[in-house]
Amino acid sequence: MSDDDILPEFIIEAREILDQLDIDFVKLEEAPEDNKIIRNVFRAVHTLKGNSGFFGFKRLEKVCHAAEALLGKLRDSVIVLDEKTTTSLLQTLDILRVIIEGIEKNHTEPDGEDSQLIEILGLLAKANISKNQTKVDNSENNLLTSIAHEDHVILLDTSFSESLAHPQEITGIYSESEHQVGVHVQEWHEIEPAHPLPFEAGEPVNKHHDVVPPVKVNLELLDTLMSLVSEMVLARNRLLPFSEEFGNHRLSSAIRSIDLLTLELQENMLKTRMQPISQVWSKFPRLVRDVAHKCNKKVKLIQEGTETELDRGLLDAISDPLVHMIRNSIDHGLESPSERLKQGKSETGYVLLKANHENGLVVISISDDGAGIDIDSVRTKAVEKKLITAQQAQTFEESKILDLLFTPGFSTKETVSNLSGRGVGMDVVKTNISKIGGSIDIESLRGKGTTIRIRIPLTLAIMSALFVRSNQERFAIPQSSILELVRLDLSMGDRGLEDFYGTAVFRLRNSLVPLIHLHQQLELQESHPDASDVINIVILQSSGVRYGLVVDEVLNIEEIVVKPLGPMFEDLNDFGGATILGDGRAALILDVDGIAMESGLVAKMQSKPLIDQETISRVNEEEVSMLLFELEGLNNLAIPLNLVHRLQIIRPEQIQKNGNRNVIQFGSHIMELLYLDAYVSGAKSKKWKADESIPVIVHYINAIPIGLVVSQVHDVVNTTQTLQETTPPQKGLLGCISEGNRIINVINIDEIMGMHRMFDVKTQYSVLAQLSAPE
Amino acid sequence: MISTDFATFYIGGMYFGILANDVLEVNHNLELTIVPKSAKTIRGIMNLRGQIVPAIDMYEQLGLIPKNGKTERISIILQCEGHLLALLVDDVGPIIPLEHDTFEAPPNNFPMTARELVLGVHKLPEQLLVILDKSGVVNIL
Repeated sequence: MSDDDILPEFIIEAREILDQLDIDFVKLEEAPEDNKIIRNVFRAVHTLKGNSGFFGFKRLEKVCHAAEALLGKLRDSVIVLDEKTTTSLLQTLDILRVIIEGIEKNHTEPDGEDSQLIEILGLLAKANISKNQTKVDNSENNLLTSIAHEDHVILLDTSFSESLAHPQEITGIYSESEHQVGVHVQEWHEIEPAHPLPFEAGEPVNKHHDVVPPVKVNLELLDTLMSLVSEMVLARNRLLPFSEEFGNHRLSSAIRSIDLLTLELQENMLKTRMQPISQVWSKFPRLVRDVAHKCNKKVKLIQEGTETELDRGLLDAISDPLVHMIRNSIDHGLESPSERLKQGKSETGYVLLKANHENGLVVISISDDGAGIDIDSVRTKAVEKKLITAQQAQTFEESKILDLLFTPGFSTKETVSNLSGRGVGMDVVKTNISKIGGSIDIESLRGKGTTIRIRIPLTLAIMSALFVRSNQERFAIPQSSILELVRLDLSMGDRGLEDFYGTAVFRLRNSLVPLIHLHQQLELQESHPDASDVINIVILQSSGVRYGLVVDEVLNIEEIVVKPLGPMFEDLNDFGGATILGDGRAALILDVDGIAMESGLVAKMQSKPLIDQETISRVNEEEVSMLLFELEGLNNLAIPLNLVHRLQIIRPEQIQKNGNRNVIQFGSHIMELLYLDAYVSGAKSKKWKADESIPVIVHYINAIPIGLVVSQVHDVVNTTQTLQETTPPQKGLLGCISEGNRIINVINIDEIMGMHRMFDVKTQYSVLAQLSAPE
Repeated sequence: MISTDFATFYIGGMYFGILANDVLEVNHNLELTIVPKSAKTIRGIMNLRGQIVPAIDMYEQLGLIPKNGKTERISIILQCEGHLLALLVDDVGPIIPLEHDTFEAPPNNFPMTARELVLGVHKLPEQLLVILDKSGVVNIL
């Protein structure tokens, strides 16, 4: 973040401070003994000094410092505030204001000399006088104040305070006073300013040039406005069809204006609700300090992207999950200082909070450079808790294992600390995040650290939703939960729905997806008595489980405004709210998590999470690709695609002889051709015509290519079916797979190569035998 | 005697009244969206100028049997503890001021479920006006 980005904030804050100081000084004059105000004023000037120092505004810093010193004395009751002091302080404020305006205009401090002002402030601070030592003469309305300072006496006229309203005069006065301590007032007015300040008449400072101080608006008012705008959007939607219906030009153009204005209104309204994430983050340094202290760890918190903005409602929603994750990072993630030193890390652990916008989403990540997550321990724990089977534990990828951390009741920490590790945690975090339409993922490197990333939409008020129809009713599904849409056309040969242990399932590529029929779930009447051949499935990701929702029809995607259903429907978990459609009707928004819960799917998955061995093998079996080919007399032969280097069509004339072998030139290699029909049971030897192209499957053995000659190459099939061994074993065949209604024979390449070598040796041997054979 | 204003309406041929002050407005023909699996007494939700308002099936609520099916098209919108709700009724009558001397609490043999709903009855010259309790309507849900 460059200084330029935060400079406006500095200026706004400085202005606020100065405005408040104006008020406070005035109050202070009325009640000079009020220590609370003095303390406030002192703190404010101190803040301004600190900020100035941060930006390297030396002039500002010096003036603030002098003022602060004086205020410190006032605070400590070493000196008593009198009119003179107040005046000088107010004068200081004016100077500060001039400098701030200069900064706002040019982004640098205006030139100027403040040493006189600083000296006066210094003198005032040193003047250790009490009230009764102050000589006051009110009779002439020409108040003379004498300030004893060593052997100097400064006499000041109170009319001076009026002239102080014009800073440029003051500089002159002070510059003079530098040389002459103890002059009569009259002379002062004649002295020209030695250092005229910039921005005099003719060069007015535009106070609203760069920075407009923000207006503070009541939050409720903002929310009301927001919902009014949402209504406006919906009303606009209802209006739009009239434009076409009546075809009246003037009506149409009026409607178009309303349309555009509404759009703009909506966009700007959304902006007003956007708040920087620093609002939530600001409390974290303290949190980190406390947690680190309790865990006896040394932690440094780094925040990046604090200016990232998101909807206010979302800010509230992410606060608790973030707190939880930061605690986790410190408590579970980071090692103790001694352990860190042993690992060759710095004693102090780092927790990095990062936020940025990405494709219309806000991405927040929490990283630590701690021990990382012990994947094996997660595996063991997951098996112990019966979340997965031992077999799954071995086969699951790391990312899948890490996902288990979000399962309810999962905690790897052996001892339960008072900070985290109560076994509730990441699942709650995940639920909270998905409630606001967000997602969460975790990445961990053993010994290096862990990063948790959450992605949330920019705003809650308006979201994108897919409308579906079930039994004449329209329902909205939040688009953030939708993985994909599947349309099965049974008449086109798509495989339909299957029953698996009482759960309707659907095969989505290589995994089984449990299905929920929306009309059953909502106890609606089945609307398809004619059992159409088309099945529409919306594949959804809920926090517990992935499932498919069967609907009658998939309609359109629309931006919707989410409305609460109210207390009367509190116990209905299937719905997350309602929205109002373009025609003015209300429509229900489905709660993807709630439906999974209600249907018992989540419970089923958790109590019997893919427990059956058969399920596992079926669900998790890797898909295998097979290349189908044909030999003379054998149709459905296959070779695993990973054994195939490439396919080559060769012309007969390319074939050359190398001894008794047929070879071709293949790149830089001489590739031997192997006629598969000689090695596979049931295949007839094919007679190649002179002009017939020969399909060759190129297979590599120890970096040497070998060409498998086949009669014809068909397509590639993907199969999840297991290979069944054939009894008795067939020559050259590994086994067969039943794929659909056909049986595919998989060739045994190792056996074939073995036979081939034997054959070679035999032929060579027979040649030798022939040679050596007696005549 | 201080008189109180009652908004009156008809459900299944019976005459009902509710405190006029509780009634926000009366609406005709608001489109209803059913809410599957919700309580039987809730017919659905309606859009009242952008607010989602639950519609109460008064036949169910009062245990009345409709003679010619449920054809209520009129909703009486009430404001209850910060929420709006709509009572579905067959027809509305005038707002009538009534004094307490015509009022009578429900008889002792009045069914318990209805007792939560019905405050009592005003004996009008031509017919009886059953006074409903707004908070009862909400609580029973």
